[in-house]
Amino acid sequence: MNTILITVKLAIITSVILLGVGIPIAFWLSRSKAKIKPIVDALVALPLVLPPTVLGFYLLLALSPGSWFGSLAVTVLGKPLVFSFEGLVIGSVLYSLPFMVYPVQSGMKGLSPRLYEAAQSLGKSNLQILWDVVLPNIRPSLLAGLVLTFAHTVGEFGVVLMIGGSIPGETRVASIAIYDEVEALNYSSANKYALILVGISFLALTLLYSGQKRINRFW
Amino acid sequence: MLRVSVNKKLNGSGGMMDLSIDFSVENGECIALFGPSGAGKTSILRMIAGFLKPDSGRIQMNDQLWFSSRDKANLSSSLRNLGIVFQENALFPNMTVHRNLKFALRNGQGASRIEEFMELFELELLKDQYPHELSGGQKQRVSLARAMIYNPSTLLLDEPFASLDEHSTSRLSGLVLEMRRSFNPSIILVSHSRNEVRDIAQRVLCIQEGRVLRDISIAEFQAL
Repeated sequence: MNTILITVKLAIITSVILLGVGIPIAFWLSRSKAKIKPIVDALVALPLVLPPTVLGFYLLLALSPGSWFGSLAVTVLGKPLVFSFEGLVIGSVLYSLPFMVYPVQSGMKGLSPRLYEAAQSLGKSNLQILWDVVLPNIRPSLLAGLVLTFAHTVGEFGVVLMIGGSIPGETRVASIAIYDEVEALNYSSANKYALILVGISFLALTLLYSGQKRINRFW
Repeated sequence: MLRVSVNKKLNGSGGMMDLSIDFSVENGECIALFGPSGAGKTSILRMIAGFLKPDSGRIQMNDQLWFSSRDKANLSSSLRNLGIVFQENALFPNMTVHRNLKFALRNGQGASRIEEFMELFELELLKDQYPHELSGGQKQRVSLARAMIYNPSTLLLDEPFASLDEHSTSRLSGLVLEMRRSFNPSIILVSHSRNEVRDIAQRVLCIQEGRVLRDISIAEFQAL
């Protein structure tokens, strides 16, 4: 049960952090004509094409106490980030970034440019336009971003294995537990974890589709 | 006075076009940019609004510089004190009619102004409706009210009657004239309809292929 709680806790924290991080990135990507936009686009998409072990490997190096970031974390947190829950959160945020940014960016691009222009002509700042006009009108996309990020984090394996290992009660999430149980030829236990993951993912997606329908009915 | 002298290479449906325009609008004057579709009228309006950057030239409102390629100046449209009514509905879908007007108010403008405009534009019964619940004519009435509620110095009208029936057009043009009488903004109307131009404008710039073909009074326009 502890393993499932850690999995759900990781997915919820990752989704909430990504909501805060992903919205400004998506807003910038949907509006910007800057020359560096393709580079930012590529960076956001990288986790989609890279093997999770590659991302996990570089995160392992970056978070280890030997790196400047890792040693800073040891000073601040009093413990290393690798093989810790906090390290898993950092890895999950990076790994699931496109799953938040793309639905939100797509929702923003789908809004009529006249809405931005009308708000601009009314003297509103970008922050006011984002908060009062853009976000309320892309609620289905926000929900999609949240649910996809949640479901993707629940199912991640490679990154978690590389930077978190399988410490029960700390970094052992459900997907790792399935792997461990199969290795130990404990198929019935693996099956329990697998069924719970199927259930969580199915619930999340059902929530997404029914929620989108309901939100769309508001106007 | 608004002085516009800009050049812009446009890639339209009829191929490349060099837009080169030079005109001015007196404070409180109402002019129309009249011409066929694709002549560059809306692009001129968008450059004045700050939504489209000219390749070169200068736009100045009284002593405030809005755009100058020489001085590398390009004032954000949020600082140009403009009211705009678009051809397509640009009301905020998540806001009721009342909220759309409230959102447009500037700091220091009292909420009593909303009630005043609601009455003036006969929107009292629609105040709690969302844009998707309104007819085309009602949407444009709210758009005009929203564009004027913060008392802008310039009102830009981009084919606001294009999708309206005769009754709604006449009602909206009456409100535009009322706004002119009450608040005296400079008005630039983009239109390809002679009737709309005749009803509202004092002066007409006939635009063709990105150039001002004629700059004439409304009397001369009617005699054409």
